[in-house]
Amino acid sequence: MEDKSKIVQIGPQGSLAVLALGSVGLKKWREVVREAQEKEAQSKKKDGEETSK
Amino acid sequence: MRRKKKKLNQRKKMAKKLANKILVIGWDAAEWSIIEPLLQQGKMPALQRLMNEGVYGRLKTLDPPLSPMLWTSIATGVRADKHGVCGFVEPIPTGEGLRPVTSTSRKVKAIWNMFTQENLKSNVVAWWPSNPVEEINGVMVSNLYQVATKAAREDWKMPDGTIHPKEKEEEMMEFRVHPHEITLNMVVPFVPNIVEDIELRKDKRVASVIKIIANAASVHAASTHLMENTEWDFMAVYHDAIDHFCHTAMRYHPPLRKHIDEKEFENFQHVVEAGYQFHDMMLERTLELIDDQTTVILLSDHGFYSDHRRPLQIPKEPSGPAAEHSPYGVIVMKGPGIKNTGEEITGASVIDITPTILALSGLPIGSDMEGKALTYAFSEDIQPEFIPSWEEREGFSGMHDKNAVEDPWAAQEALQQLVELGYIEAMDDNKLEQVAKAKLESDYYVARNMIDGGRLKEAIPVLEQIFAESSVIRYGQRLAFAYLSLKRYDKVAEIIARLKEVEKTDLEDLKKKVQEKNPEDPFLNKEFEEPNYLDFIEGLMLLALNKPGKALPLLENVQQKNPNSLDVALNIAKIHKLRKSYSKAEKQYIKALAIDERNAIAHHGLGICLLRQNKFEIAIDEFLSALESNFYMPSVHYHLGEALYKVGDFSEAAEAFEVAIHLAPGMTKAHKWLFEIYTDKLNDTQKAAKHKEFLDHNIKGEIVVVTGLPKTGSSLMMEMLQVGGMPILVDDLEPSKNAQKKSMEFAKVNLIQKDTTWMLDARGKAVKMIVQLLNYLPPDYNYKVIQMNRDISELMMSQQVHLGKKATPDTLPLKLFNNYLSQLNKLNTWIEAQPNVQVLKVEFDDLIENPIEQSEIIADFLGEELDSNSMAKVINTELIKIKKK
Repeated sequence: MEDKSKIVQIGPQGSLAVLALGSVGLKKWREVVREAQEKEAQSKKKDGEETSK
Repeated sequence: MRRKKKKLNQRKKMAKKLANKILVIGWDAAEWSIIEPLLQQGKMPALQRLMNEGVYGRLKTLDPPLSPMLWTSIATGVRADKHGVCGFVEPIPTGEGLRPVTSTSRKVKAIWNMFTQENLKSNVVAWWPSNPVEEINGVMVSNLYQVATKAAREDWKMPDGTIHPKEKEEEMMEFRVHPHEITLNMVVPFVPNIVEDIELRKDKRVASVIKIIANAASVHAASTHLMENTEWDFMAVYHDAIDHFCHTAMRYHPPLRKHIDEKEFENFQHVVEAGYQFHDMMLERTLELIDDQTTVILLSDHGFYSDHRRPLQIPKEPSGPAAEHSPYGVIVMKGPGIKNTGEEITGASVIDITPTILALSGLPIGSDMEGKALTYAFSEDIQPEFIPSWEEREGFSGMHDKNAVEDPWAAQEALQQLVELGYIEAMDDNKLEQVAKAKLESDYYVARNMIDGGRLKEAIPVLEQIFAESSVIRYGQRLAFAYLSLKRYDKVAEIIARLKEVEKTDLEDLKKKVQEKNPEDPFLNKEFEEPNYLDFIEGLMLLALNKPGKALPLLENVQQKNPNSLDVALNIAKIHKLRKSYSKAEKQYIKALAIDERNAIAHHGLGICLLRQNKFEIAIDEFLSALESNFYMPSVHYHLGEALYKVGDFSEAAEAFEVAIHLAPGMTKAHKWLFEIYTDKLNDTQKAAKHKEFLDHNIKGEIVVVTGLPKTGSSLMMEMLQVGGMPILVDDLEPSKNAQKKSMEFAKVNLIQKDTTWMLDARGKAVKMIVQLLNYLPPDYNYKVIQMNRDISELMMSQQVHLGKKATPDTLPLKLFNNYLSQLNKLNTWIEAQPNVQVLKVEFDDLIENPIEQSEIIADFLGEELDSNSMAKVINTELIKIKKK
């Protein structure tokens, strides 16, 4: 079976198309959101470190 | 050898498993009138594919069109009085008020219980109501699964009773989508203006849209997960989102109506369309997850008005939003066991779904189920098997035991959602009163459900009781209509009088409230604001009593105030058709078709009007349209045959008449046409002989019987029929000894107890018979009885005068009076019990006062082209004088 979550572009903002993929889309989207949040936290941390320098 | 062949044929027709796996997808409130333009624009490709590769059609809802009742009927094959889910709410057993209706209210097995008994695996997701879950063979996710009970996702626990088996709770938790997770991107297709308009994001309708998207996404994620990760033979997934999008924003759906604010229209006009497209996207994914061994049934429980029939306001009454529901939902079926022709099917109802699933699965249908298997949509000709009832079938089914409980907090949140949607009133402190009101309301729904199922006599005591207890006008209205259908006109008149009294009191109360409070308060709207309903009931009663002249102005008045009422248009059309005012009738039928373009009665009526105006080709189109909506109407086939004959298409005409007699074998006039066509036009002597034989020997000939107590005008009626062109059976046409008028009698009629051979000659003719002899009519003929009625005291005075006795109202013989009354009662009871007797009651006074109108009614009843004007002339001035005496 084709893994649609690889075809539909999934960004942190999500879309109806992602929700329409059902469980697979939801899982993948949450992963993307988590990664984006982690990245953001890291870059904030980095910015904070640089600012404190 | 011959015997063996017969056996093989029998086997071919027996029950057989046609589908290996069945997937049922429920789209609450899905409606063709919204889907069709989207299909044309290519905006619902998944549904289009499903339709092209299977069959599709309209699915008739049940009355009342309330979803928990309907989805339970869909899953059980029976109506609410049998399945026990009687509305949106139910009392909490401990007496603490109300809660959303639960699965514990269901008294009979659902399809998944039947599959459990058969050792087949079922997954059921979010069916309404399915909380608390049942211990079926498979997985059940309840209808409270997707309802977020906490503002933050982290605090949102999974209440007990949401998932079966319990060990799957944790696994299923992650597929719930919290409204907080819904992003701007996801809402933009529904409300594009939120990108620019920050304020709009705070609108409560946007909040509703967000909640609905989250709920739909949760149900879809849970169902797709189960489809991919469990083994199942049957799966049912229910989505309420289309219904909720529509209740939130159908008023803003294009085209813009005058009373809708343009800015609001601008903001919310895309909600409904986006909702449907979202469902098509989810459908596409769902269909990707099934194999070619799975049969799909996609359906809705009712439709949703999307055009000029949208109500201007929602009635301020319990379940008021259901006024937006239309009577036809959708059904699409595809896969093994189903025709792959892409054709439209007709005649399907939500009550047919469980029998259809059982038949597809090769399982027996319960004889106590109220629907039928839609075998005409099957790819193979099978004869389903039946058992008396699934309730008697032994074995573990997973149904609840009586001690099952649910989480009250989760239930409370769902209750709040129903309040927000307007389905139920917000709770107040007086919970007892609310429970009592809810009980009345649920009895009302059950009574409506019984009426819908044709069980009027069972519904009446329920309605009598709740109307007596509450004086709620809606209950009285329904009661009056029920009595009207049973032709209990005395009771209708009584209920109308009571309703007028209640209305008067209610109006006084309303006036007081208006004086006390702000008159602009919308909650002061009367609950019974259906315009002119009393005129409507009275109009229908007068029409049923053959007083169309009096009924017409009342119905026209109702139509003025209530232009979208289908029933009103059809009844006005009926009156005009009766009076042979075909162009007026035509206009009303066209009006009816503007309200419901697929209405078979309107297409049929319009066809008859066109036929009678010699517009044969378009009449044929109308009859074909009627048959497209309902094929099983023998009189439509008959009229189609008549129209085809007129245009010289004799073989097709013969085919139409053949179908008519196939559906109604006793239809003598169709046999007559067929005999004539096969003899004169098609030279098919063999077939002509068959119909000749029917006409000569078949026991199912039709006889017109004119009856009544003495001096009620039965001889006059015979004379009218004769003059109008109806053949009559009489001894001779000489005046009788005691009167100048002809007696119109046939002596052998009085020997009917001993000799019925004369009846062969009476076929297709009218014969006079006294009331007392009617119950000797043999059951092997069809009868159209014209029963002459007259005020009993008036007719007795007439008899006294006839006998040369002095007559005043004070000197009438009481014994004779009672005897007459008893004879009439016996006659009515007898007629009611005869399936082969149709009766038309003609009031002597009406005949004298409106001879033309009454003649038209008689001609219509007999289905003959009689000369109404000549008939009316028979009623001469001499008779009017007698009446005045």
